[in-house]
Amino acid sequence: MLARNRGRLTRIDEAILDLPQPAPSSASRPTAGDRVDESKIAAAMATGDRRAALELLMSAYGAAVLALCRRMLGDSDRVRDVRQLVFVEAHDALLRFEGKSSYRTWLLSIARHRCLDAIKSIRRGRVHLVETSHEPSDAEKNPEQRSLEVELRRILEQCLQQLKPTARTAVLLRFQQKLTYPQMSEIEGELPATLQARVSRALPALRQCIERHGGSL
Amino acid sequence: MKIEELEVEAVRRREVNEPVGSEIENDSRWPELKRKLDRVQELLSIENEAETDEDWQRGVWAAIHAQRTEEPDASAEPTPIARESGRSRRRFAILSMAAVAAALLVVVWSPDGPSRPEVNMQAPVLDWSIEAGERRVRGDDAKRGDRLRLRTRVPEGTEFVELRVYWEGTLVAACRSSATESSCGRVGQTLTLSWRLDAPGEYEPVLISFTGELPRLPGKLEDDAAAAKAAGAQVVLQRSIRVR
Repeated sequence: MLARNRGRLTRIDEAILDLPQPAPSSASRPTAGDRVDESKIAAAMATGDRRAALELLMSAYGAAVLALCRRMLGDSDRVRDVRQLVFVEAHDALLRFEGKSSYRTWLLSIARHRCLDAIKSIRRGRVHLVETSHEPSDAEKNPEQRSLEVELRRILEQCLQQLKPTARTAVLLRFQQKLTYPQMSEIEGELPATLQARVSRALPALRQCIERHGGSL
Repeated sequence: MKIEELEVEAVRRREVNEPVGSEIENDSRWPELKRKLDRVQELLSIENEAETDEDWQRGVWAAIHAQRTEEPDASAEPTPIARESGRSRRRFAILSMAAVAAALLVVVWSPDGPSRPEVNMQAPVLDWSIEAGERRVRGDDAKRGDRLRLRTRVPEGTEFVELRVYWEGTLVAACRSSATESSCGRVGQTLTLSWRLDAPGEYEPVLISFTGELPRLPGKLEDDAAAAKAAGAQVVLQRSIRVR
């Protein structure tokens, strides 16, 4: 089945395979940084209040995890289950958190893993979506029925699903979560330069896909 | 320069905080391309839907509570799956105790004492159990949404141990003894892997232990087992678990 599916990979999938690896660079854009004062979470853990720590994490990063998973999975039925799973696992893993990264990066790392798990388990469905995405729906043929913004986002969702999961994760961590490459490196376990190269391929691939599907940028 | 090459190079330079360079800056296609790439970035950063489920945090706590209450009850009559798992656990405990006793004997009887390199004679044991969801299924089948938990004890002297789950003969999850992930971790000498059974079909739990460099395995059960064995690894295969 897998071999058969590979034969149907799109141009975008092909475009981000076998990436050239540029020389390592520590340069990365500054970001807004973490969104909450994580010292409160650390303080809760220091007093052994894991419940309070998890509640702070859920309040601070629940939306970010949901957003990441939604765009990684492109499947609204599964997204909320995966987010729940992420925080249940975070509850277990909080006791082992060593502070080597921010809580946000650590949590997004768990989210990434669980989203990739979910992608594997729905791979057949995803491939089906990719195949059908080349056949424009009625709504696609009549974009004037929707606002340009809504239509663009819908096409973007489709195109994201056509990226390899690793490329999809990279562009989302970079542009949706606004992480730096060193932070992404902690999550992905790959060199910043590798991730920079992946993003450099994936962003143009997304642009091309959107326009190919009639999206007006 | 082709337009595809131009934009990849331009994005790469921007992402490493370098100027895009005069060749790109002077290209007549670049301003339009730059605007479009910026627009894609902007679209990626916009959240497409507001949070509508205000109770989601309650759901997390309910799941955590359910996880705690689903711990096996020793007094309960085990299901067929749990019975097998129970036997495995007992086997695991007996083998662990036997291993400890054997290790002690080695230390006691060794003329050179504990500093002498020990040869690991303990066979790896794969213990597995199914955490059942709400719906009961007759027989030995598991159901979608159940969770498969694999556990093994990493024998002393073994460099790597890997727990694996195959679905329909294809690798879907793996956990090495060096793992630090939350659902795949090592506490002391115990390595565990937890995997949610989301798709119907046959799942096969596998344990691979080896002392050297394991060759790259292609991710197919039969091929992986053959390649691992050929490399000198020990491979423990469990009977498959059918998920309906």
